[in-house]
Amino acid sequence: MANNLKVNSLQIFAIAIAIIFVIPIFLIFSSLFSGFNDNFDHLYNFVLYEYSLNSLILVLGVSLIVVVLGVLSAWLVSNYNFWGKSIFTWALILPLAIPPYILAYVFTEIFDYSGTVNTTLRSLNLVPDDYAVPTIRSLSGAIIVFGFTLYPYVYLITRVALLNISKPMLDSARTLGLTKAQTFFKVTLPLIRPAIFAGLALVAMETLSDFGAVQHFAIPTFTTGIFRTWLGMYDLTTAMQLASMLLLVVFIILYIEKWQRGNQRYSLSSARSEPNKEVKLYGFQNFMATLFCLLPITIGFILPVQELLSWSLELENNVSTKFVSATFNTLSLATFAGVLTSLVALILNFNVRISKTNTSENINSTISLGYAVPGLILAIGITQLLTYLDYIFFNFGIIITGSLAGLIFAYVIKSYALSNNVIHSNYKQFSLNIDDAARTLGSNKYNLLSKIHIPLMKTALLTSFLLVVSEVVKELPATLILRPFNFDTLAVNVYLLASEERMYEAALPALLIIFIGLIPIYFLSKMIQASKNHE
Amino acid sequence: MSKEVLTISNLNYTIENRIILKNINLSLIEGEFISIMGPSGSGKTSLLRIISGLSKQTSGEIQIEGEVVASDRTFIETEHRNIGLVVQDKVLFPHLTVKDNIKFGISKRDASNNKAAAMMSKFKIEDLQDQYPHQLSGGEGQRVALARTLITNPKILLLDEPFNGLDDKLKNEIYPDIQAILTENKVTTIMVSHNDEEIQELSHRNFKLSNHKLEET
Repeated sequence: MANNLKVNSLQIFAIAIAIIFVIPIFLIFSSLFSGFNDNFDHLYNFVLYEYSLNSLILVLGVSLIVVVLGVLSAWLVSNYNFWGKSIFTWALILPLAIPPYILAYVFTEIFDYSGTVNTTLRSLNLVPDDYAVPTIRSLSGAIIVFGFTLYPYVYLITRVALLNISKPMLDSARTLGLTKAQTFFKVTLPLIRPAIFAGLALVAMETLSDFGAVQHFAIPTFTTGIFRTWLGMYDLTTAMQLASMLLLVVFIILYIEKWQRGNQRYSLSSARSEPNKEVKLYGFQNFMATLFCLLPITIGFILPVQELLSWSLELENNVSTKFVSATFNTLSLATFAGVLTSLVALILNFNVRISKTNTSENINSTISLGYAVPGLILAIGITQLLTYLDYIFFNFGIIITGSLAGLIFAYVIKSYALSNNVIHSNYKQFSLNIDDAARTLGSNKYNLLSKIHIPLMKTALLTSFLLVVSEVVKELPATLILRPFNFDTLAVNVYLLASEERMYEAALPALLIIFIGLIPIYFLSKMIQASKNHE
Repeated sequence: MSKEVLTISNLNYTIENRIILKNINLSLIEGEFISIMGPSGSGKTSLLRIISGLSKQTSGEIQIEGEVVASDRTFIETEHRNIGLVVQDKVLFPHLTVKDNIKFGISKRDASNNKAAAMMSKFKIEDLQDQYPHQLSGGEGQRVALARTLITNPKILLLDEPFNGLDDKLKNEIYPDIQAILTENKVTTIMVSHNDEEIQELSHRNFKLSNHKLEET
């Protein structure tokens, strides 16, 4: 017999996870109450303005590029039939597999005086022998790098929104006297606006979070400033105070995105009742549409992959012991984090499903916010937490701080939202009546999970695992800070080699990172295709 | 004197200050079959969910065979109440075959293969045993759902518009089978339905749920 006062262990687990996830963020913000020292005054008087301005220009520039590339390419592949369209539909997502820091390293090499671009231009006698194209290591270069690696976020979300727009609604607009252009601006655009904002918010957060690319291009931004303050000036408190400011900006972006998403309900409520008729393009229009879609794929994927491949083939004996151990470390960590994150997401979503309370939903949403916290900031918060734990349990030892615990913790927090999105949406696909049936047939909660839910969600769990793996493999700033001594991952390997300008040696680990990142992209494009076919 | 199986006393149910059920009292004996009619949203499904333990009443008491299963101080979980529930929606487990769906609620100790074979024979679904739910027609699926529930020998069977979507020919085939099985096993049954013919065919007593109250008609 169960009493109604019986403590719900799942609910306690969910609350405990939420508290553990929030502690590093709380520690970061607590720095604002510990007083501002001379270092902060120095930063405030001399560099804070530069950090803010550069970060702002970066976000605005990248936003402009991703809106143009992402929205227009999504619009083209959703409404028109042109040469290569069926390939572009999935190929436009490919640059997601390339972390901005890898594109930054490759572009630096390509646009170098002796790089591919300059040598080609000179060999074709298009420029004088002593000419070199302007260096890519600049703010505008960083905008291009982020723009061409991050536009798929906007492309993906906008495409899904376009697929969901009701065709009869657009037809009604036409019969009410609107031209095609008016229908686009007065009906379609307002309907996809929340989706564009959602994509833009992700891009802005990724841009602000980046450390590898801006560090390589030597652009003073918040993240490079935090890194320099902590590991150059050895001032953790000031670094945390800077981190608090950046985190506030990130939360404001999140708030704006959420406010915009509030409107999404009306725009995506009506499912498309019949497939959209694609307009066939001919001649010049066909050529331009193909060219437009080919451009971001070439710059964001084909070019860097082709360069990395040629560099790795040029180098003999590039499979070093360091590379092997970094691969092993990366895959072990990614697998562990993938299993752990998917497991936590499964249990918390199961709790949401069976408890049916707003509290469980809110706990899950709060934990999902971890994706928005920049890796560098997360690393600082976790280091602080682990230091406290070491102080409490090991009297100032570095037992926990020196272990892999912090790193795995950071990965789980960063990638929880990915797992949660996949598992949450999969749970919505099967009726609650199935749970009721199992319960009335004698299943307790744990049988329900193991015998019904887990078998029904095998694909979702695999997708969640792969998404986390690819996120972990790419992750740089948190890994750089939280890894134990002499523990390298592929991302750290690439970072260290690139910072020593040994790009040819960095090519193979970079290619492996890209290859692993392609696996979930394959699943993602299949899922979008399946949803389109379903319609 | 027949044994009292289900007793509901002074049951109330509100959701966010909205009254769904008010002062419900009901007493059913072993093997009795009753029907509940009522307009949409009148609380019929809520009542079945409360009896099965899938939802919790705001106040009042429910006894099954004299044991209190739900009151202000007690709440026995669904899986321990031995109540069968069949609804009109698709509730077969999509990853299990018909045979495995039917065996789901019984333990291996119960010689599940023989028991499942006997139940499939009663519902004339032996030929479907290796098929998956998506391969079944609406009528076949509903027979499997009924077989899966009845194999667990529930003390009480709750049917929530279980024959919706089935054609008349199929219903006429199923009714005698169900009646025979329920009588044989002395199962006490509550059926929510809008269909007069169905109610006439199967029910011993009829009730109407309106204005949050349950009244015998």
